[in-house]
Amino acid sequence: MKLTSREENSIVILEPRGKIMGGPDATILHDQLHEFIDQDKKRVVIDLAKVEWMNSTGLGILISGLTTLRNNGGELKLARVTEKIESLLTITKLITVFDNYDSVEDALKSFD
Amino acid sequence: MNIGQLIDLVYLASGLSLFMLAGVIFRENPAGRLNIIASIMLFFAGIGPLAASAYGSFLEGIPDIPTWLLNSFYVWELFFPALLYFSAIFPEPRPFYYRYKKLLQIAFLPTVFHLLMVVFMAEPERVLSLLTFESSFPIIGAILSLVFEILRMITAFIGFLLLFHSRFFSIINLAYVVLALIILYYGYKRIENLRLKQQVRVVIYGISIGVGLYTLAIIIPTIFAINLTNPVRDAMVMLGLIVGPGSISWAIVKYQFLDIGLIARKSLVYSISTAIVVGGYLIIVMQAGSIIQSLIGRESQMMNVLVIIVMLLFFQPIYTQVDDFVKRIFIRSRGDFSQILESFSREISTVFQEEKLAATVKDTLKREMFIENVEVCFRETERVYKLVSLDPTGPRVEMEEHTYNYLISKQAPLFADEISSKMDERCLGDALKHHSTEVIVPLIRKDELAGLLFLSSKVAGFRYGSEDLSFLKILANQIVVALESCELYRESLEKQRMEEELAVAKQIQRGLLPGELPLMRNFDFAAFIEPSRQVGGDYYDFIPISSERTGIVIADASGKGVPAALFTARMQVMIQSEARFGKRLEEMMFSINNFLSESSSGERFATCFYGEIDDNERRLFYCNAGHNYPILVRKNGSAESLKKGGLILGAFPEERYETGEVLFEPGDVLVLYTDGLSEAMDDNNIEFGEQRLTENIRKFRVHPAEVISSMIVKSVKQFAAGINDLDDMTLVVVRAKET
Repeated sequence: MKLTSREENSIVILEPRGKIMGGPDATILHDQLHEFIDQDKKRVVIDLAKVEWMNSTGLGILISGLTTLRNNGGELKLARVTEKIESLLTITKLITVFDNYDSVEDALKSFD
Repeated sequence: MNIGQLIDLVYLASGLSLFMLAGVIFRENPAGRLNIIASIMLFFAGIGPLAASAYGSFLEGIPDIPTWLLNSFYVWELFFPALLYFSAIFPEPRPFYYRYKKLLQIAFLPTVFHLLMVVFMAEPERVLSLLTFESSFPIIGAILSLVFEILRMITAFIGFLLLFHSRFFSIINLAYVVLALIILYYGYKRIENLRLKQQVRVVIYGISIGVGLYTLAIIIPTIFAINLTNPVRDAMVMLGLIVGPGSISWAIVKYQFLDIGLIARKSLVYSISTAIVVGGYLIIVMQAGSIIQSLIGRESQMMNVLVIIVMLLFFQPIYTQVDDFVKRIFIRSRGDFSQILESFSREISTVFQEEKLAATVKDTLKREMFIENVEVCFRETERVYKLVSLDPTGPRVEMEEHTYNYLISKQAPLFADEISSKMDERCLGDALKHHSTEVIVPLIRKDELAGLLFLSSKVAGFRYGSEDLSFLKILANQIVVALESCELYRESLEKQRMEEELAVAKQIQRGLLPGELPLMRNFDFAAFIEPSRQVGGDYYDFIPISSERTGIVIADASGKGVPAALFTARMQVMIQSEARFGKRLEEMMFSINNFLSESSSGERFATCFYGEIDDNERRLFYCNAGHNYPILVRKNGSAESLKKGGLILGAFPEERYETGEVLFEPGDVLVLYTDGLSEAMDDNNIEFGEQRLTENIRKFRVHPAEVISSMIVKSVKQFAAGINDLDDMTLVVVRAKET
């Protein structure tokens, strides 16, 4: 997994690429999320367009990211979830927990 | 040989040994202040017994030897101011040394004056007779006669002094001795290095006893005009002469006094042992004649020759014995490098941690080589070396490429000043300055720098010899080998730890599984689980609730290994107790989810399908908490997914769940599985998938559950043939019997 990030209107946009699996890969995303929280950047959009697949560890990272952000008065939103991951979110019913948008712009707008 | 000759021989031997010691010590470091002073002191000390020996053996017999010539032997008394000087700088210069350096040099003056006096004014009468003058020029004559008169008065005064010069200067010598011993004693108390203390103690004891005996035998009796009998006096002086130089030799040989090199120590030992043996041989041969004469009553040249030949025959084995003894006692002492290496390699053979290795290296070098401070660095990353210390955030040494290459090409210990110009001022340069490094020892492994030793100066200003450097090179090789075994040990430990952990996880997982399948009138069951190599969080369970009702669980906890297994175990306990409590399924899942969410940070969760089968009614109540939808294939081949339920367990608290319901008809087949099965991939990264799974169920649905299960497993394995498993694979089949 590779990870880039940018900011727009003080909203952090994370763009992971590849597979979000366990191991050192996963900790990058986890650490990055917690770094933003530490920097008081609590509005985060994760653009999942380039993520082919994630396993349970990957899901765990999203869940803990969301929990931590919410506990700190922030929010985590997903954008451009691929079909495969959407089905994963559907099965696990996590689709009801995560706000999930068709485009990054929509996700950004939802913060207004 | 009479007693007098023996005494002369002992004087000669001790005088020569003192000269030899002076030579060895001076040769070791001709520029070292301590070595210079020590050798001067020993040199003057050696003149004394040599003079005594010369006087006793032949000078005594020569008539008309001028007094001034005999008096010139007083030069040996320069030993006393030299001893005082030595005490001020041994083993390290005292603080007062720098302030009173001049005073210490002035301390030589009285003795020099005494020497000049006893040599040039040995016979004042003769000098006086020379000082008469008659002149024909009245004025010059008057002046000169005045000058001569003054000179005559001085000469007369000196002549008067000479009457008790020996007593007077004995007092001065005694003062020197007392002062020197006091200073030596206080210097000794300040020493912290144990081995240095040991050798200094030997030297101080030796000097104290030697000088003390001389004081008692000669100085004190001279001052107080006591008449000691000759044998007592001679015995004391000889004992002093043996103990004094003997202790210094002992300190050199046994404790590397003044850090004298091994070769010098060896030669010292051999010359002393040879001197003893040859001396003994000569005495016996010389005495042979008189012994034979007393035995057979007359002189016999023949017998003399015979005795000498027999003695020669004995001499060789005796010499070998002495040689062996000396080697055993002295050369293979702790100071010997080969022995240090031996004990060092023994010590490090049980060390498997880098910190401990570094500590052993530091201890050994400080103890055995008198090095004040030793720093050990081991490689951390490319050209970055970490100083091994208690502080894990401790300093790092970062090295420039050409410095690195220089050290690699050098392959051997080197002096810091050789490289300080080549060092990067910012990093290694700092380390050099900070630890006042004198010698750098590169630890080279397969043409890479595995580490570095920074050695400071030695205690008491001892210097590094070429012997030290070659020793350090061998030591470095041993450290490198030890470092390798540290690494291997760490790797094997890590591997072992992981394997043990996996074994534990596997054991936990196996422990969760039910012993047998439930027996029901209208249903038959099959279950299959295959843990992955890393052991995931899969498990299935059958929970007997009543004679009619059985609970079925299939779950997959996130993560792998022991944490996943433990999470699963907690979940199982919760499910089993809640299920037997007879709660409604949605309430049951609600409280299990709350419990698991509270005790986990959200990163750990499980997908879980729980169902209860009623045997009589052929009915299934179920709640699917985020698990892969179980597939129900009806007898007619149509398929349904069991989706009702709610969110995965353990992620968010206070989630609501729903209960679903299925009515079985005979011949219907329900298959529960985990993603390890549906996501098993072939070599084109294509998943087995739900579609293929459904088709398989359909294909084998008329068979008993056991057959359906094994056919599905076989089919999945064929599909993903040759692909290493990534996840646990679990399958539960429930089939409504047809009769």
